[in-house]
Amino acid sequence: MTYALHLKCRECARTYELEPLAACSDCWAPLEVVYDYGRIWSDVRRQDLAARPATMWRYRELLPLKGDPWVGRFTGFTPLVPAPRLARALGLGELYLKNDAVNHPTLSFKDRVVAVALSKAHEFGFETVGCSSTGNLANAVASQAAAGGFHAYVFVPADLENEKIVATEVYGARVVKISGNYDQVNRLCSEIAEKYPWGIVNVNLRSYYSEGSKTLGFEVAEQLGWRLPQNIVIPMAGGSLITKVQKAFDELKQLGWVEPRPTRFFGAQATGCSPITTAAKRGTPEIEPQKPHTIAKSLAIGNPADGYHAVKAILASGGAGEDVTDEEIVEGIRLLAETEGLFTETAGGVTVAVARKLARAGSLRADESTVLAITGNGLKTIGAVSGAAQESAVIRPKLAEFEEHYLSVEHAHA
Amino acid sequence: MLEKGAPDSVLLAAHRAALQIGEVHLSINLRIPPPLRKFTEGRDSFASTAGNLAELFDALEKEFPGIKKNLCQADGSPQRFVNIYVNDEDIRFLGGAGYRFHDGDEVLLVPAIAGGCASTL
Repeated sequence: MTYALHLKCRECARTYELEPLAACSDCWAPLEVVYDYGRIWSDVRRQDLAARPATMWRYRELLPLKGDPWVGRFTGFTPLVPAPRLARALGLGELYLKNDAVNHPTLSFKDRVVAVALSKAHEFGFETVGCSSTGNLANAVASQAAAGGFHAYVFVPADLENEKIVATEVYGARVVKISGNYDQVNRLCSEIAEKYPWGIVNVNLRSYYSEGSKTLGFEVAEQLGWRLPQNIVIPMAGGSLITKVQKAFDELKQLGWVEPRPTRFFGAQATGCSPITTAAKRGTPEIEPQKPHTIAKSLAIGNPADGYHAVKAILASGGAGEDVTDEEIVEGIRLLAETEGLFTETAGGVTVAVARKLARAGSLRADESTVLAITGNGLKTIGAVSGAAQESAVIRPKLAEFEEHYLSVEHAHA
Repeated sequence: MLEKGAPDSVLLAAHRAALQIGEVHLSINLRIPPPLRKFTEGRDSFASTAGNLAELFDALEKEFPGIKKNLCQADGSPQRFVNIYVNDEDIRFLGGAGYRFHDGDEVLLVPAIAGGCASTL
């Protein structure tokens, strides 16, 4: 039983059956799932959700599956962590961290979109699945493909961090390393999806895959007591997450589950790959592609497929796009770790560093509520902070040496 | 006719002269991905002497009437969600509409969000 009605083109509004289609065949714009909101409104009461499992599937009527999820049964409903110490450091007031760094099973928000995509792949009868990835999606697809009994091919740029490649290969997926950047990898995946009957989660299953991102937004609203934040800062690679969180907030307003208050959406990128934030700063949704040069490899998409809609979402909300240097990204990772004890990967460092920049500029205000989307775990990009962390001296197991090398340092800091 | 063993400078001058009088032809090959083949009677490639993108779109329209509206916006610029590659490089990095094709260029049209077929498995 599903409340999904059909796929609809985001530009020309042409509709399609609920099949593995991602783009309109008239204007090539992305398709998205449309739901029967009237029937959801009459069938589901907001208070019914409290008794449901603490996973992303508590919002199942707003997701495009016909039946129970095939994979990702424990994904989602990650902690929304109040962050008073970080707030003080940034000069903000009510600040929260949506901590997808501990998402199940592969420690990033990509577990959400993959859970939906592979469950749909099972419904469509695909036996082989795959993706093009900057890292987190590779982990998630490989893991959930193994759990779901799929064959899997994962396509990555060859210079991806080793920990991400190992954490993909371990599940038994075929990892195809391409000498090129993500955009070139994605292009190959498009050709493969045309030729082979495979479910490529971010190509021919993209319309369904992207719906999984909404659950981050649903959870934030529910965890704030069915209240929307006044500001939200979201990192951007392809641009899908920020548009789908906005869709989630709009759906909750449409159902009457939250007060219709506005939320300002702030998109965050690395300066070394900032096609979306550059366009947002110019006030135009027309994206000019870039060649990525940044340590934030999980965000290194120079030609973002949803960039146009991401800019429109940002500008329509009264928010902004902002980007930060590689140095600022590392500072962001360390600031979050040292104030709130959470270790995030480079994309999370981008988010925190951008929040700091926005707060200094007065775009984020101390008298408003703000949520930062922490989308991946720091263990995935260890190399980015190695060398930047304080080096510890090796001592012999003698009390005097400890006191000399460590306590004196502590006293110097005190 | 040049004699065998003519100096390079003479060969170069002859080539330049040939270009000027149109004896050397520019030829590019356009590869057409599956989603666009319904407009090209199933053809997967198209050879052309077009000198730039606008001329290529016109040449395609001449061969396959009606295709241009699926490739271009009203002002003649490429559809927003279609990427164009020349020898594997995004044409926007080469100057976009201002890029002049070179003889032998391989041009590829790729929908930005690609993949999928209407028939279910």
